[in-house]
Amino acid sequence: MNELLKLSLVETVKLIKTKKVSVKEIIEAYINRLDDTEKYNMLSEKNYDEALELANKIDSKKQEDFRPLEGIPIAVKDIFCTVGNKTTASSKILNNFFAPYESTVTKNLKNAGGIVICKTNMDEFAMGSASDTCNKGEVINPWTDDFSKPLTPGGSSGGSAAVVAASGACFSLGTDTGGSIRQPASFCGNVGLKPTYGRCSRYGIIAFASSLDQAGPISKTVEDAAYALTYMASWDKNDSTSANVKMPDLLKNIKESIKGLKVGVPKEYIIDGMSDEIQKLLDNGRTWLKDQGAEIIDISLPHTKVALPCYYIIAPAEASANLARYDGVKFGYRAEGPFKDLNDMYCKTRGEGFGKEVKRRLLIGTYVLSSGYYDAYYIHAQKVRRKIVEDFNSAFKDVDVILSPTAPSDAFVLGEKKEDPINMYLNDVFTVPSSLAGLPAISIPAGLSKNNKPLGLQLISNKFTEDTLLKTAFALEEAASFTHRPNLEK
Amino acid sequence: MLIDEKVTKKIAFLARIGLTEKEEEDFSKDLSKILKWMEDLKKIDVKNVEPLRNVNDIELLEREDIDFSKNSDQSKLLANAPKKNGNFFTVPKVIE
Repeated sequence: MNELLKLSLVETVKLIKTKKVSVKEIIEAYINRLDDTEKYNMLSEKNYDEALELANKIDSKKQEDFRPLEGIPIAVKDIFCTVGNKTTASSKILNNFFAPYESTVTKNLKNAGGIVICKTNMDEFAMGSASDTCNKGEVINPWTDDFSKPLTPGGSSGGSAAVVAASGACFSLGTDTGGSIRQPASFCGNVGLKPTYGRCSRYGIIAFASSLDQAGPISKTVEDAAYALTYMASWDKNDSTSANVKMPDLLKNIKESIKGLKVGVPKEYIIDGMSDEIQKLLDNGRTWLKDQGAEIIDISLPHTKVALPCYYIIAPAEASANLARYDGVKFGYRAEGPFKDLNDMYCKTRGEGFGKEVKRRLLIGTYVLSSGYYDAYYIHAQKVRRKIVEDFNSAFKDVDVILSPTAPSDAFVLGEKKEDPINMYLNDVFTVPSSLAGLPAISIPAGLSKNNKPLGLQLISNKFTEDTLLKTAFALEEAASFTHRPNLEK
Repeated sequence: MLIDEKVTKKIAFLARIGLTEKEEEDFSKDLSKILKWMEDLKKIDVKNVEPLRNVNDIELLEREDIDFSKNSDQSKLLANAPKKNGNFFTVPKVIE
Protein backbone atom coordinates (compact mmCIF):
# COMPACT_ATOMS: atom_id res chain seq x y z
CA MET A 1 0.00 0.00 0.00
CA ASN A 2 1.16 3.52 -0.82
CA GLU A 3 2.67 5.05 2.33
CA LEU A 4 0.54 8.20 1.90
CA LEU A 5 -2.59 6.14 2.53
CA LYS A 6 -1.34 5.04 5.92
CA LEU A 7 -1.31 8.58 7.29
CA SER A 8 -4.02 9.91 9.54
CA LEU A 9 -5.98 13.03 8.61
CA VAL A 10 -3.95 15.20 10.98
CA GLU A 11 -0.67 13.79 9.62
CA THR A 12 -1.82 14.40 6.04
CA VAL A 13 -2.75 18.00 6.86
CA LYS A 14 0.76 18.52 8.23
CA LEU A 15 2.39 16.89 5.22
CA ILE A 16 0.41 18.99 2.74
CA LYS A 17 1.44 22.14 4.60
CA THR A 18 5.12 21.31 4.07
CA LYS A 19 4.53 21.09 0.29
CA LYS A 20 6.93 18.14 0.24
CA VAL A 21 4.24 16.13 -1.51
CA SER A 22 1.80 17.63 -3.99
CA VAL A 23 -1.92 17.44 -3.37
CA LYS A 24 -2.23 15.91 -6.83
CA GLU A 25 -0.01 13.04 -5.73
CA ILE A 26 -2.14 12.48 -2.65
CA ILE A 27 -5.43 12.62 -4.53
CA GLU A 28 -4.08 10.22 -7.16
CA ALA A 29 -2.99 7.76 -4.50
CA TYR A 30 -6.49 7.75 -3.04
CA ILE A 31 -8.14 7.44 -6.46
CA ASN A 32 -5.96 4.42 -7.23
CA ARG A 33 -6.91 2.92 -3.92
CA LEU A 34 -10.63 3.42 -4.57
CA ASP A 35 -10.23 1.84 -8.01
CA ASP A 36 -8.45 -1.15 -6.47
CA THR A 37 -11.21 -1.66 -3.93
CA GLU A 38 -14.23 -1.51 -6.22
CA LYS A 39 -15.32 -5.02 -5.29
CA TYR A 40 -16.53 -3.71 -1.92
CA ASN A 41 -19.18 -1.60 -3.70
CA MET A 42 -18.57 1.36 -1.42
CA LEU A 43 -19.15 4.21 -3.86
CA SER A 44 -22.31 5.70 -5.27
CA GLU A 45 -20.38 8.23 -7.33
CA LYS A 46 -16.78 9.05 -8.13
CA ASN A 47 -15.78 12.69 -8.11
CA TYR A 48 -12.27 12.20 -9.45
CA ASP A 49 -12.22 14.83 -12.20
CA GLU A 50 -13.25 17.64 -9.91
CA ALA A 51 -10.91 16.33 -7.19
CA LEU A 52 -7.91 16.40 -9.53
CA GLU A 53 -8.83 19.81 -10.86
CA LEU A 54 -9.00 21.17 -7.30
CA ALA A 55 -5.72 19.46 -6.45
CA ASN A 56 -3.98 21.23 -9.33
CA LYS A 57 -5.38 24.55 -8.22
CA ILE A 58 -4.17 23.99 -4.66
CA ASP A 59 -0.70 22.99 -5.82
CA SER A 60 -0.31 26.36 -7.49
CA LYS A 61 -1.29 28.17 -4.28
CA LYS A 62 1.08 29.63 -1.75
CA GLN A 63 1.64 27.71 1.46
CA GLU A 64 0.50 30.59 3.64
CA ASP A 65 -2.89 30.60 1.89
CA PHE A 66 -3.62 27.00 2.90
CA ARG A 67 -6.83 26.44 4.83
CA PRO A 68 -7.22 23.82 7.62
CA LEU A 69 -8.38 20.99 5.30
CA GLU A 70 -6.52 22.10 2.19
CA GLY A 71 -6.34 19.22 -0.28
CA ILE A 72 -7.82 16.59 2.06
CA PRO A 73 -9.82 13.87 0.24
CA ILE A 74 -13.18 13.28 1.92
CA ALA A 75 -15.75 10.56 1.21
CA VAL A 76 -19.31 11.84 1.58
CA LYS A 77 -22.34 9.72 2.39
CA ASP A 78 -24.83 10.00 -0.45
CA ILE A 79 -27.35 11.68 1.84
CA PHE A 80 -25.57 15.06 1.77
CA CYS A 81 -26.60 17.30 -1.11
CA THR A 82 -23.51 18.27 -3.08
CA VAL A 83 -23.80 20.48 -6.13
CA GLY A 84 -22.50 18.84 -9.29
CA ASN A 85 -23.02 15.25 -8.08
CA LYS A 86 -26.07 13.08 -7.87
CA THR A 87 -27.60 12.80 -4.42
CA THR A 88 -29.76 9.70 -4.17
CA ALA A 89 -29.87 8.52 -0.53
CA SER A 90 -29.33 5.12 -2.21
CA SER A 91 -32.96 5.13 -3.30
CA LYS A 92 -34.51 4.40 -6.66
CA ILE A 93 -36.95 7.26 -6.01
CA LEU A 94 -34.04 9.74 -6.12
CA ASN A 95 -32.23 7.84 -8.84
CA ASN A 96 -31.42 10.88 -10.90
CA PHE A 97 -31.56 13.73 -8.46
CA PHE A 98 -29.15 16.64 -8.75
CA ALA A 99 -29.52 18.89 -5.75
CA PRO A 100 -29.67 22.56 -6.68
CA TYR A 101 -27.95 23.54 -3.43
CA GLU A 102 -25.10 22.41 -1.17
CA SER A 103 -25.51 20.99 2.34
CA THR A 104 -24.10 23.26 5.04
CA VAL A 105 -21.74 20.56 6.33
CA THR A 106 -20.15 19.90 2.92
CA LYS A 107 -20.09 23.63 2.23
CA ASN A 108 -18.17 24.16 5.49
CA LEU A 109 -15.69 21.43 4.59
CA LYS A 110 -15.19 22.74 1.06
CA ASN A 111 -14.66 26.24 2.43
CA ALA A 112 -11.97 24.79 4.68
CA GLY A 113 -10.19 23.38 1.61
CA GLY A 114 -11.57 19.81 1.72
CA ILE A 115 -12.03 17.85 -1.52
CA VAL A 116 -14.99 15.53 -2.05
CA ILE A 117 -13.38 12.50 -3.69
CA CYS A 118 -16.46 10.30 -3.81
CA LYS A 119 -19.95 9.76 -2.49
CA THR A 120 -20.72 6.56 -0.66
CA ASN A 121 -23.42 3.90 -0.65
CA MET A 122 -25.69 3.59 2.35
CA ASP A 123 -28.90 2.01 3.48
CA GLU A 124 -31.79 3.51 1.55
CA PHE A 125 -32.75 6.80 3.25
CA ALA A 126 -30.42 5.74 6.10
CA MET A 127 -32.91 3.10 7.22
CA GLY A 128 -30.90 0.03 8.07
CA SER A 129 -28.05 -1.41 10.08
CA ALA A 130 -26.26 -3.50 7.45
CA SER A 131 -25.95 -1.40 4.26
CA ASP A 132 -27.93 -4.12 2.54
CA THR A 133 -30.82 -1.94 1.36
CA CYS A 134 -28.86 0.23 -1.12
CA ASN A 135 -30.36 0.69 -4.54
CA LYS A 136 -26.91 -0.14 -5.96
CA GLY A 137 -26.47 -3.38 -4.01
CA GLU A 138 -24.90 -4.35 -0.71
CA VAL A 139 -21.71 -2.77 0.58
CA ILE A 140 -19.09 -5.34 1.61
CA ASN A 141 -16.94 -4.87 4.68
CA PRO A 142 -13.22 -4.71 3.74
CA TRP A 143 -12.56 -7.01 6.71
CA THR A 144 -14.22 -9.85 4.77
CA ASP A 145 -11.96 -12.92 4.38
CA ASP A 146 -14.32 -15.30 2.65
CA PHE A 147 -16.14 -13.72 -0.28
CA SER A 148 -18.67 -16.52 -0.37
CA LYS A 149 -19.80 -15.14 2.99
CA PRO A 150 -19.30 -11.37 2.70
CA LEU A 151 -19.57 -9.38 5.93
CA THR A 152 -21.69 -6.30 6.43
CA PRO A 153 -19.90 -3.02 7.08
CA GLY A 154 -22.85 -2.11 9.32
CA GLY A 155 -25.22 0.69 8.49
CA SER A 156 -26.56 2.95 7.53
CA SER A 157 -23.26 4.79 6.87
CA GLY A 158 -21.67 1.51 5.68
CA GLY A 159 -20.04 2.87 2.53
CA SER A 160 -18.45 5.72 4.48
CA ALA A 161 -17.10 3.38 7.16
CA ALA A 162 -15.85 0.87 4.58
CA VAL A 163 -14.00 3.59 2.63
CA VAL A 164 -12.07 4.64 5.73
CA ALA A 165 -11.28 1.00 6.58
CA ALA A 166 -9.99 0.52 3.02
CA SER A 167 -7.91 3.74 3.30
CA GLY A 168 -9.89 5.26 0.43
CA ALA A 169 -10.21 8.73 1.99
CA CYS A 170 -8.65 10.69 4.87
CA PHE A 171 -12.02 10.64 6.59
CA SER A 172 -15.65 10.32 5.64
CA LEU A 173 -19.02 11.82 6.48
CA GLY A 174 -21.83 9.84 7.96
CA THR A 175 -25.17 10.58 9.52
CA ASP A 176 -26.47 9.01 12.68
CA THR A 177 -30.15 8.74 13.58
CA GLY A 178 -30.03 5.72 15.89
CA GLY A 179 -26.44 4.51 15.55
CA SER A 180 -25.69 4.85 11.84
CA ILE A 181 -22.22 6.31 12.37
CA ARG A 182 -21.16 4.40 15.47
CA GLN A 183 -22.22 0.85 14.58
CA PRO A 184 -20.53 0.83 11.12
CA ALA A 185 -17.43 2.42 12.67
CA SER A 186 -17.39 -0.45 15.18
CA PHE A 187 -17.82 -3.09 12.44
CA CYS A 188 -15.07 -1.58 10.27
CA GLY A 189 -12.49 -0.76 12.97
CA ASN A 190 -12.85 3.02 12.72
CA VAL A 191 -13.61 5.91 15.02
CA GLY A 192 -17.18 7.17 14.54
CA LEU A 193 -18.42 10.35 16.21
CA LYS A 194 -22.01 11.48 16.55
CA PRO A 195 -22.01 15.04 17.90
CA THR A 196 -24.69 16.61 20.09
CA TYR A 197 -27.98 17.06 18.25
CA GLY A 198 -27.85 20.56 16.76
CA ARG A 199 -24.05 20.77 16.40
CA CYS A 200 -23.98 20.13 12.66
CA SER A 201 -26.59 21.72 10.48
CA ARG A 202 -29.11 19.37 8.92
CA TYR A 203 -29.59 21.76 5.98
CA GLY A 204 -29.08 19.84 2.77
CA ILE A 205 -29.02 16.44 4.44
CA ILE A 206 -31.87 14.30 3.14
CA ALA A 207 -34.18 13.98 6.13
CA PHE A 208 -34.99 10.67 7.79
CA ALA A 209 -36.09 11.51 11.36
CA SER A 210 -35.58 15.21 11.92
CA SER A 211 -35.52 15.20 15.73
CA LEU A 212 -32.70 12.61 15.68
CA ASP A 213 -30.62 13.06 12.49
CA GLN A 214 -27.10 14.32 13.07
CA ALA A 215 -24.00 14.40 10.87
CA GLY A 216 -20.57 13.32 12.06
CA PRO A 217 -17.16 12.10 10.91
CA ILE A 218 -15.83 8.56 10.52
CA SER A 219 -12.05 8.51 10.81
CA LYS A 220 -8.96 6.47 11.61
CA THR A 221 -8.19 8.21 14.91
CA VAL A 222 -9.90 10.14 17.70
CA GLU A 223 -7.76 13.19 16.98
CA ASP A 224 -8.89 13.05 13.34
CA ALA A 225 -12.53 12.97 14.45
CA ALA A 226 -11.94 16.05 16.61
CA TYR A 227 -10.20 17.83 13.75
CA ALA A 228 -12.93 16.96 11.21
CA LEU A 229 -15.82 17.93 13.49
CA THR A 230 -14.20 21.29 14.19
CA TYR A 231 -14.68 22.20 10.52
CA MET A 232 -18.05 20.47 9.98
CA ALA A 233 -20.02 22.07 12.78
CA SER A 234 -21.64 25.48 12.64
CA TRP A 235 -24.68 27.35 13.80
CA ASP A 236 -26.86 27.66 10.74
CA LYS A 237 -29.89 29.82 10.21
CA ASN A 238 -31.07 27.39 7.56
CA ASP A 239 -31.70 24.70 10.19
CA SER A 240 -34.15 25.80 12.87
CA THR A 241 -32.85 23.14 15.28
CA SER A 242 -29.21 24.09 14.82
CA ALA A 243 -27.81 25.06 18.23
CA ASN A 244 -26.16 28.41 18.85
CA VAL A 245 -23.75 26.99 21.42
CA LYS A 246 -20.04 27.69 21.16
CA MET A 247 -17.98 24.63 20.28
CA PRO A 248 -15.19 24.06 22.79
CA ASP A 249 -11.69 23.75 21.35
CA LEU A 250 -11.69 20.04 20.60
CA LEU A 251 -7.97 19.64 20.07
CA LYS A 252 -6.49 21.78 22.80
CA ASN A 253 -6.99 19.42 25.73
CA ILE A 254 -7.51 16.16 23.89
CA LYS A 255 -4.28 14.62 25.18
CA GLU A 256 -4.85 15.76 28.74
CA SER A 257 -4.90 13.22 31.57
CA ILE A 258 -8.29 11.81 32.54
CA LYS A 259 -7.29 11.51 36.18
CA GLY A 260 -10.28 12.05 38.41
CA LEU A 261 -12.77 11.77 35.55
CA LYS A 262 -15.94 9.91 36.52
CA VAL A 263 -16.99 7.16 34.14
CA GLY A 264 -20.38 5.50 34.52
CA VAL A 265 -21.12 1.96 33.37
CA PRO A 266 -24.88 1.39 33.14
CA LYS A 267 -26.02 -1.96 34.44
CA GLU A 268 -28.87 -2.07 31.90
CA TYR A 269 -26.32 -2.19 29.07
CA ILE A 270 -25.34 -5.66 30.12
CA ILE A 271 -28.06 -7.38 28.18
CA ASP A 272 -29.38 -10.94 28.09
CA GLY A 273 -27.45 -13.16 25.77
CA MET A 274 -24.55 -10.73 25.42
CA SER A 275 -21.56 -12.70 24.22
CA ASP A 276 -18.51 -13.26 26.42
CA GLU A 277 -16.30 -11.34 24.03
CA ILE A 278 -18.47 -8.21 24.32
CA GLN A 279 -18.46 -8.55 28.10
CA LYS A 280 -14.68 -8.94 28.03
CA LEU A 281 -14.35 -5.88 25.81
CA LEU A 282 -16.36 -3.82 28.28
CA ASP A 283 -14.27 -5.12 31.19
CA ASN A 284 -11.12 -4.10 29.31
CA GLY A 285 -12.56 -0.63 28.77
CA ARG A 286 -13.22 -0.26 32.48
CA THR A 287 -9.70 -1.36 33.35
CA TRP A 288 -8.05 0.88 30.76
CA LEU A 289 -9.84 3.99 31.99
CA LYS A 290 -9.33 3.08 35.64
CA ASP A 291 -5.61 2.54 35.07
CA GLN A 292 -5.39 6.09 33.79
CA GLY A 293 -6.91 7.48 36.93
CA ALA A 294 -10.60 7.60 36.07
CA GLU A 295 -13.12 6.59 38.68
CA ILE A 296 -15.51 3.88 37.48
CA ILE A 297 -19.02 4.14 38.86
CA ASP A 298 -21.85 1.68 38.32
CA ILE A 299 -24.95 3.57 37.26
CA SER A 300 -28.50 2.82 36.23
CA LEU A 301 -30.44 4.04 33.21
CA PRO A 302 -33.75 2.36 34.04
CA HIS A 303 -35.57 3.01 30.75
CA THR A 304 -32.87 1.54 28.52
CA LYS A 305 -34.96 -1.48 27.61
CA VAL A 306 -37.79 0.54 26.11
CA ALA A 307 -35.51 2.89 24.16
CA LEU A 308 -35.56 0.67 21.06
CA PRO A 309 -39.35 0.33 20.72
CA CYS A 310 -39.64 4.05 21.56
CA TYR A 311 -37.19 4.83 18.75
CA TYR A 312 -39.01 2.55 16.31
CA ILE A 313 -42.16 4.60 16.82
CA ILE A 314 -40.65 8.08 16.73
CA ALA A 315 -38.19 7.60 13.85
CA PRO A 316 -40.68 5.95 11.44
CA ALA A 317 -43.35 8.50 12.37
CA GLU A 318 -41.04 11.37 11.47
CA ALA A 319 -39.88 9.50 8.37
CA SER A 320 -43.43 9.02 7.15
CA ALA A 321 -43.89 12.79 7.26
CA ASN A 322 -40.48 13.60 5.77
CA LEU A 323 -40.78 11.12 2.91
CA ALA A 324 -44.22 12.35 1.90
CA ARG A 325 -42.40 14.76 -0.42
CA TYR A 326 -41.45 11.95 -2.82
CA ASP A 327 -44.54 12.10 -4.97
CA GLY A 328 -43.11 11.82 -8.47
CA VAL A 329 -44.12 15.38 -9.34
CA LYS A 330 -41.35 17.87 -8.65
CA PHE A 331 -38.29 15.62 -8.63
CA GLY A 332 -37.24 12.02 -8.56
CA TYR A 333 -38.70 8.88 -10.05
CA ARG A 334 -42.20 8.59 -11.49
CA ALA A 335 -43.79 5.27 -12.43
CA GLU A 336 -44.90 4.71 -16.00
CA GLY A 337 -48.56 5.50 -16.64
CA PRO A 338 -51.32 5.30 -17.57
CA PHE A 339 -52.81 6.23 -14.21
CA LYS A 340 -56.42 6.12 -13.10
CA ASP A 341 -55.99 9.32 -11.12
CA LEU A 342 -53.46 11.30 -9.12
CA ASN A 343 -53.56 8.90 -6.15
CA ASP A 344 -52.84 6.03 -8.51
CA MET A 345 -49.76 7.89 -9.71
CA TYR A 346 -48.58 8.49 -6.15
CA CYS A 347 -49.17 4.89 -5.10
CA LYS A 348 -47.45 3.36 -8.12
CA THR A 349 -44.54 5.79 -7.95
CA ARG A 350 -43.92 5.23 -4.25
CA GLY A 351 -44.63 1.50 -4.45
CA GLU A 352 -41.98 1.12 -7.14
CA GLY A 353 -39.61 3.82 -5.92
CA PHE A 354 -39.13 2.73 -2.30
CA GLY A 355 -37.42 -0.45 -1.17
CA LYS A 356 -38.78 -2.97 1.29
CA GLU A 357 -37.33 -1.61 4.55
CA VAL A 358 -38.34 1.96 3.71
CA LYS A 359 -41.88 0.81 2.96
CA ARG A 360 -41.96 -1.17 6.18
CA ARG A 361 -40.96 1.87 8.21
CA LEU A 362 -43.29 4.23 6.37
CA LEU A 363 -46.14 1.84 7.11
CA ILE A 364 -45.21 1.69 10.81
CA GLY A 365 -44.90 5.47 10.90
CA THR A 366 -48.22 5.99 9.17
CA TYR A 367 -49.91 3.50 11.50
CA VAL A 368 -48.65 5.11 14.71
CA LEU A 369 -49.71 8.53 13.47
CA SER A 370 -53.10 7.42 12.22
CA SER A 371 -56.32 8.48 13.86
CA GLY A 372 -57.05 6.36 16.93
CA TYR A 373 -53.43 5.30 17.45
CA TYR A 374 -51.69 8.66 17.57
CA ASP A 375 -51.95 9.10 21.35
CA ALA A 376 -51.41 5.47 22.26
CA TYR A 377 -48.25 5.12 20.18
CA TYR A 378 -46.72 8.38 19.04
CA ILE A 379 -47.49 10.72 21.95
CA HIS A 380 -46.82 7.92 24.40
CA ALA A 381 -43.41 7.31 22.80
CA GLN A 382 -42.58 11.02 23.04
CA LYS A 383 -43.36 10.85 26.76
CA VAL A 384 -41.18 7.78 27.19
CA ARG A 385 -38.47 9.67 25.32
CA ARG A 386 -38.55 12.31 28.03
CA LYS A 387 -38.13 9.58 30.67
CA ILE A 388 -35.06 8.34 28.78
CA VAL A 389 -33.63 11.87 28.71
CA GLU A 390 -34.29 12.20 32.45
CA ASP A 391 -32.36 8.95 33.05
CA PHE A 392 -29.31 10.48 31.39
CA ASN A 393 -29.78 13.82 33.15
CA SER A 394 -29.69 12.17 36.53
CA ALA A 395 -26.72 9.96 35.53
CA PHE A 396 -24.73 13.02 34.47
CA LYS A 397 -25.14 14.48 37.97
CA ASP A 398 -22.72 11.75 39.10
CA VAL A 399 -20.54 11.00 36.09
CA ASP A 400 -18.79 12.83 33.23
CA VAL A 401 -18.99 10.12 30.61
CA ILE A 402 -20.71 6.78 30.12
CA LEU A 403 -18.96 3.66 28.80
CA SER A 404 -20.64 0.78 26.94
CA PRO A 405 -20.08 -1.51 23.98
CA THR A 406 -21.05 0.05 20.63
CA ALA A 407 -22.82 -2.97 19.18
CA PRO A 408 -23.88 -6.36 20.55
CA SER A 409 -21.65 -8.26 18.09
CA ASP A 410 -18.92 -7.99 15.48
CA ALA A 411 -19.77 -7.64 11.77
CA PHE A 412 -22.21 -10.35 10.73
CA VAL A 413 -22.65 -12.04 7.35
CA LEU A 414 -24.67 -9.95 4.87
CA GLY A 415 -28.22 -11.15 4.48
CA GLU A 416 -28.19 -12.98 7.81
CA LYS A 417 -30.71 -10.71 9.52
CA LYS A 418 -32.47 -9.31 6.51
CA GLU A 419 -35.69 -11.28 6.90
CA ASP A 420 -35.98 -10.60 10.61
CA PRO A 421 -36.52 -6.86 11.13
CA ILE A 422 -36.61 -6.98 14.94
CA ASN A 423 -33.35 -8.90 15.13
CA MET A 424 -31.85 -6.28 12.82
CA TYR A 425 -33.20 -3.44 14.98
CA LEU A 426 -31.44 -4.96 18.03
CA ASN A 427 -28.11 -3.90 16.52
CA ASP A 428 -28.90 -0.41 17.75
CA VAL A 429 -29.59 -1.37 21.35
CA PHE A 430 -26.57 0.51 22.76
CA THR A 431 -26.66 3.47 20.39
CA VAL A 432 -30.34 4.39 20.29
CA PRO A 433 -30.79 5.68 23.87
CA SER A 434 -28.15 8.42 23.47
CA SER A 435 -29.65 9.33 20.08
CA LEU A 436 -33.07 9.80 21.66
CA ALA A 437 -31.43 12.08 24.24
CA GLY A 438 -29.48 14.03 21.59
CA LEU A 439 -26.17 13.29 23.34
CA PRO A 440 -22.72 13.21 21.76
CA ALA A 441 -21.28 9.71 21.51
CA ILE A 442 -18.30 8.04 19.91
CA SER A 443 -17.21 4.54 18.96
CA ILE A 444 -13.54 3.65 19.34
CA PRO A 445 -11.99 0.44 17.97
CA ALA A 446 -10.99 -1.47 21.07
CA GLY A 447 -10.36 -5.09 20.25
CA LEU A 448 -10.81 -8.06 17.95
CA SER A 449 -13.51 -10.69 18.18
CA LYS A 450 -12.72 -14.41 18.09
CA ASN A 451 -13.29 -14.14 14.32
CA ASN A 452 -10.56 -11.47 14.20
CA LYS A 453 -13.03 -8.71 13.40
CA PRO A 454 -13.06 -5.27 15.04
CA LEU A 455 -15.16 -4.47 18.09
CA GLY A 456 -15.90 -0.95 19.30
CA LEU A 457 -16.44 0.63 22.67
CA GLN A 458 -18.82 3.54 22.99
CA LEU A 459 -18.48 6.64 25.12
CA ILE A 460 -21.38 9.03 25.72
CA SER A 461 -21.11 12.46 27.34
CA ASN A 462 -23.44 15.26 28.29
CA LYS A 463 -24.82 17.65 25.67
CA PHE A 464 -22.29 20.04 24.11
CA THR A 465 -19.34 18.48 25.97
CA GLU A 466 -17.60 16.99 22.94
CA ASP A 467 -14.29 18.12 24.46
CA THR A 468 -14.71 15.82 27.47
CA LEU A 469 -15.95 13.03 25.22
CA LEU A 470 -12.96 13.27 22.90
CA LYS A 471 -10.45 13.55 25.71
CA THR A 472 -11.78 10.32 27.22
CA ALA A 473 -11.91 8.69 23.79
CA PHE A 474 -8.30 9.63 23.20
CA ALA A 475 -7.26 8.01 26.49
CA LEU A 476 -9.24 4.90 25.63
CA GLU A 477 -7.74 4.75 22.14
CA GLU A 478 -4.23 5.00 23.57
CA ALA A 479 -4.85 2.20 26.02
CA ALA A 480 -6.57 -0.07 23.51
CA SER A 481 -3.81 0.65 20.95
CA PHE A 482 -5.83 -0.95 18.17
CA THR A 483 -3.50 -0.96 15.18
CA HIS A 484 -5.10 -3.71 13.10
CA ARG A 485 -6.08 -2.93 9.53
CA PRO A 486 -7.98 -5.19 7.16
CA ASN A 487 -5.86 -7.17 4.76
CA LEU A 488 -7.04 -6.07 1.34
CA GLU A 489 -4.48 -7.99 -0.66
CA LYS A 490 -6.82 -10.99 -0.86
CA MET B 1 -52.53 -10.97 14.67
CA LEU B 2 -52.75 -7.25 15.37
CA ILE B 3 -52.61 -6.19 11.76
CA ASP B 4 -54.46 -8.06 9.03
CA GLU B 5 -54.26 -7.43 5.32
CA LYS B 6 -57.27 -5.15 5.39
CA VAL B 7 -55.53 -2.84 7.86
CA THR B 8 -52.26 -2.98 5.91
CA LYS B 9 -54.12 -2.02 2.76
CA LYS B 10 -55.68 0.94 4.54
CA ILE B 11 -52.37 2.17 5.99
CA ALA B 12 -50.63 1.69 2.66
CA PHE B 13 -53.21 3.91 1.01
CA LEU B 14 -52.80 6.55 3.73
CA ALA B 15 -49.05 6.43 3.00
CA ARG B 16 -49.77 6.39 -0.76
CA ILE B 17 -47.68 3.26 -1.24
CA GLY B 18 -48.94 0.72 -3.73
CA LEU B 19 -48.32 -2.82 -2.49
CA THR B 20 -48.50 -6.17 -4.24
CA GLU B 21 -50.63 -8.89 -2.65
CA LYS B 22 -47.48 -10.65 -1.49
CA GLU B 23 -46.24 -7.44 0.13
CA GLU B 24 -49.60 -6.93 1.86
CA GLU B 25 -49.29 -10.40 3.31
CA ASP B 26 -45.63 -10.01 4.36
CA PHE B 27 -46.00 -6.54 5.83
CA SER B 28 -49.08 -7.62 7.80
CA LYS B 29 -46.94 -10.24 9.51
CA ASP B 30 -43.98 -7.89 10.02
CA LEU B 31 -46.09 -5.07 11.37
CA SER B 32 -47.93 -7.37 13.75
CA LYS B 33 -44.63 -8.64 15.12
CA ILE B 34 -43.17 -5.15 15.43
CA LEU B 35 -46.24 -3.72 17.15
CA LYS B 36 -46.30 -6.66 19.55
CA TRP B 37 -42.63 -5.98 20.34
CA MET B 38 -43.62 -2.39 21.15
CA GLU B 39 -46.16 -3.47 23.76
CA ASP B 40 -43.55 -3.12 26.55
CA LEU B 41 -43.70 0.63 26.10
CA LYS B 42 -47.24 0.72 27.37
CA LYS B 43 -46.05 -0.51 30.75
CA ILE B 44 -44.12 2.71 31.33
CA ASP B 45 -45.99 5.11 33.57
CA VAL B 46 -45.98 8.48 31.86
CA LYS B 47 -48.58 10.21 33.98
CA ASN B 48 -47.84 13.96 34.11
CA VAL B 49 -44.97 13.60 31.64
CA GLU B 50 -44.88 16.08 28.78
CA PRO B 51 -44.13 14.68 25.33
CA LEU B 52 -40.61 15.57 24.17
CA ARG B 53 -40.29 17.03 20.68
CA ASN B 54 -36.91 18.74 20.67
CA VAL B 55 -34.08 17.55 22.92
CA ASN B 56 -32.59 21.04 22.97
CA ASP B 57 -34.66 23.66 24.66
CA ILE B 58 -34.06 26.30 22.06
CA GLU B 59 -36.34 28.87 20.60
CA LEU B 60 -37.10 28.53 16.95
CA LEU B 61 -35.55 31.19 14.79
CA GLU B 62 -37.52 33.71 12.85
CA ARG B 63 -36.42 35.12 9.56
CA GLU B 64 -37.29 38.08 7.38
CA ASP B 65 -40.46 37.51 5.39
CA ILE B 66 -38.93 37.92 1.96
CA ASP B 67 -39.90 36.75 -1.48
CA PHE B 68 -37.70 33.73 -2.14
CA SER B 69 -38.97 33.10 -5.64
CA LYS B 70 -36.83 35.97 -6.90
CA ASN B 71 -33.72 34.12 -5.80
CA SER B 72 -34.53 30.70 -7.18
CA ASP B 73 -33.48 29.60 -10.57
CA GLN B 74 -36.54 28.10 -12.20
CA SER B 75 -34.58 26.05 -14.72
CA LYS B 76 -32.57 24.41 -11.95
CA LEU B 77 -35.69 23.48 -10.04
CA LEU B 78 -37.41 22.14 -13.13
CA ALA B 79 -34.33 20.16 -14.16
CA ASN B 80 -35.19 17.41 -11.67
CA ALA B 81 -38.84 17.07 -12.70
CA PRO B 82 -39.78 13.66 -14.07
CA LYS B 83 -42.25 15.31 -16.48
CA LYS B 84 -42.48 18.94 -17.46
CA ASN B 85 -43.95 21.14 -20.12
CA GLY B 86 -42.38 24.54 -20.69
CA ASN B 87 -42.13 26.20 -17.31
CA PHE B 88 -44.54 23.77 -15.62
CA PHE B 89 -44.48 20.46 -13.79
CA THR B 90 -47.00 18.13 -15.37
CA VAL B 91 -49.22 15.56 -13.70
CA PRO B 92 -51.88 13.22 -15.08
CA LYS B 93 -55.17 14.83 -15.90
CA VAL B 94 -57.34 14.83 -12.78
CA ILE B 95 -60.51 16.49 -14.10
CA GLU B 96 -62.58 14.79 -16.72
